Amino acid sequence: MLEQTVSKITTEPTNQDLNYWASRPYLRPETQERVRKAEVVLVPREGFRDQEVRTFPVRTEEFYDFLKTALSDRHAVDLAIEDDEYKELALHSALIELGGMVVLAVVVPVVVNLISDYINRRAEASAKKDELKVSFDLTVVEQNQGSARAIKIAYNGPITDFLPAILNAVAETPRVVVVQTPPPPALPEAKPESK
Amino acid sequence: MRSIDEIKAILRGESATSPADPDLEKEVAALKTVAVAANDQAFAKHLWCVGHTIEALKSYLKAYRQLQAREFFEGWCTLEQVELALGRLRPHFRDHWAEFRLAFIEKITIAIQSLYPYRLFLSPELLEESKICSICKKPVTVRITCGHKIGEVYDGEYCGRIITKFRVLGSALVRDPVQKYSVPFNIDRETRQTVDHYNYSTVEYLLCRWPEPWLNWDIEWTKALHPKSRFRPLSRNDKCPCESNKKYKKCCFSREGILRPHVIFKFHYKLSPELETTEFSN
Repeated sequence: MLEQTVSKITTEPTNQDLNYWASRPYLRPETQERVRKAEVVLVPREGFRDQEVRTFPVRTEEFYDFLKTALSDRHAVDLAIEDDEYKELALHSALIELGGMVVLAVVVPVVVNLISDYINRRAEASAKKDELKVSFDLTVVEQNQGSARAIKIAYNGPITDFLPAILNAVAETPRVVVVQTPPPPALPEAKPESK
Repeated sequence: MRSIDEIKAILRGESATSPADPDLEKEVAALKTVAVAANDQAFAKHLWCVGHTIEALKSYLKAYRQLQAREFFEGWCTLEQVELALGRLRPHFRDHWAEFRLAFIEKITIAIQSLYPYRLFLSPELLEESKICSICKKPVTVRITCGHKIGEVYDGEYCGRIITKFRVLGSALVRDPVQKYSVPFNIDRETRQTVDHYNYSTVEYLLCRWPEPWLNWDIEWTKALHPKSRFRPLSRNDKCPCESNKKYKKCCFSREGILRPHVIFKFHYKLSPELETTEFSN
């Protein structure tokens, strides 16, 4: 009504690229392998209110299905969680929260368009569409033989500003310094089968 | 039993029958049963839309009655039901929004909600651990779903998720809640009864000038200076009464008055002369 919402976008280097998420100890080896090879990965929030849980925002199931349907024939989409550990966190505000996602640089243009499309679909249910707020973290990863440039772009603000804000932030990502990704911890060796 | 066209005429306001007529929902349900049996999914979905339109209009009329009875909190909760019904309906029935008076009740609902004094709400933080599909009742996980999509209509029923296991992690006071009904009230220390401590004078002002639920009005929110004499004596470090969340000395202290929200009502019908003042400040 009379209140104004200020949009907030932050851009910072991060070491939380695909290898980081693929190495999370709560993933089984086959899931780790899929995450490492994926081009778009939805990632959990860890330790909300000091709880030993990994959580995704409410309606992530729907967002994941939307991305899979739109991308699955061209790009690998996955989640950094096991199915039986998947939990959604319903918080207070009437905002469209997409949570965290890690995306290879080559698919960022497609993914940003899809995010925009998805947000607009969600907003259609609201009578006050232009007053909605949106929040998400998009980590853009540029992989290059052992090193990876990873930049986390976090947006929290009005729905009306998010697209120009995110496009500007993505356009500026090459200026960010290269972050060396620590090698992932070795997976436990498979025990030889007893005969 | 009425035909679908006769039912739709009622929803358009072209009949003396009220959308709150309890037979209407039964008649739509009966038509839907026939459509589903014939596997006519398009008509079954249309009937869901008509049924949901009835629900929205019915809730709107109920909210009006509650407001006129000065049951302010109950009216607030029913208006939320109107909002929720419209939210589910909009993606499927947008082209009929004006035809069935949904645009009207949406505008009025938003306007009344903006007049309420509720500013903070209690809101739980829920960890949803397992859920099932509302259509087929099968368990749903993120990778393994039943194929029914949230928000779609199948066999004339809306698809959602039913949470079967959850934990409350905490709660908070918020300004923009998912559930608008979670309004905090005071408790009387002696009687332990809930006390409604809110000032509903702006809503009251409207209700005195709104004798019928289908009479049209608009509001315009603006800001106006109010004489400082209307407020209790303020010290420089007090919170400014203009609701900016700033200290008085850093906000309205140097102004001639307090800059506060101000609403202008525009009634599109004739008011009695004694009620013609159309501006309100609190």
